[in-house]
Amino acid sequence: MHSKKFKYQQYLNLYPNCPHDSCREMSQDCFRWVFKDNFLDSFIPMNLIKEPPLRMLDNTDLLCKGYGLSLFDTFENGLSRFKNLYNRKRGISHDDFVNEKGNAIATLEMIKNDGVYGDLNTGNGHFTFHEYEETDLSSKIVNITEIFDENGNFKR
Amino acid sequence: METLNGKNLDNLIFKNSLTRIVDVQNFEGPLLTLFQDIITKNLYLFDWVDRDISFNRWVVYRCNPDTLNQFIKSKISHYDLFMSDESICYSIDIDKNIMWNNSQEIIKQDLSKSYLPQRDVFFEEVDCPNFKKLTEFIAMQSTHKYSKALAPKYASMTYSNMPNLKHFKYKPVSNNVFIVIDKSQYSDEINKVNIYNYKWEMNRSNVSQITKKVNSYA
Repeated sequence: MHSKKFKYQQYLNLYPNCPHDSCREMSQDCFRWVFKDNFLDSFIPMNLIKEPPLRMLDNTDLLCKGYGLSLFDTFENGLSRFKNLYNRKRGISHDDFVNEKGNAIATLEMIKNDGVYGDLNTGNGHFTFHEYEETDLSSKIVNITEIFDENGNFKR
Repeated sequence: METLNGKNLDNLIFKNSLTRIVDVQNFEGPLLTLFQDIITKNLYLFDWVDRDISFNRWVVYRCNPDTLNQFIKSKISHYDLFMSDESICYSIDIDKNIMWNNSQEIIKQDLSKSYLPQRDVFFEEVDCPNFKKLTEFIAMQSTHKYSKALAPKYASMTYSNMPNLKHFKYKPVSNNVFIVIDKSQYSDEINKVNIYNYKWEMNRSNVSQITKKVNSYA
């Protein structure tokens, strides 16, 4: 059981053991897709985004981790995952995808007192992060790298 | 979202007997999810294709365990997986309350091009949150003959809801029974596993109408 209070605690209370006991504090640089000119909308958990609706097939998709934020362990993993999903998108346009997911990758300098991390997917470097109540992730940004160049192509 | 050119359905006939097995692809929510009809044992994939401010759109299609096994071993692409098995698929729009709307039956060849999986996209294990469960489930299914999983899907079919005859071949067996052969053939390899027969018990009142229509395509 975690002793500190989390952001969105009222929702986390609806789930048993949320965030999971295995989630741990860490100090490390992390990487997140963000909107370069709109940090306010860059750190909203999936479960709190009203439009478009969550992709859900049944109630089990409304998960505890949906109140956390997706981060990556390296810039390269964040970019690779973005490209992978961008290229696989089906009905929605590339513009819609970018408007939904972001147009830049932020480097976040995280410390132990910011929150807890879930298990790392070693295949793609993704993990879920739950913020403590007082954490402001936009203040943790130390670098922003745009994903696309002026012609709309991937920078690298 | 794209306008669909399918046949409107009140609902999927197998909706209430579906049980969720495992997500084949997931990133911040399901992208491709395997279900099983617990009555017929047929497998169905829910494949996310689109969304707007109110709905997420899923294309649903049947698959057989052997083809799914080929997919997760990256021997066939997502496109090949989609095109295998039946020539029809379904579309469902699911809202924030998980209510199903706008169910349609669509001939795969009529599906919007933007909804088709890409031919060069293959399964990646990192996308699957429970690969062990997926492989074990497929292995378990593959031990049964797939023919056992075929349901008499068209058993209650009437003239008004018979499938598009361009895609099915009808072979009369008796006055009120037809064998229906799916003509969805995209490659010789898929052809071998995809041809299947349905016995179609028809309402007698429709026999002459249907026979006439079938004969016109003979």
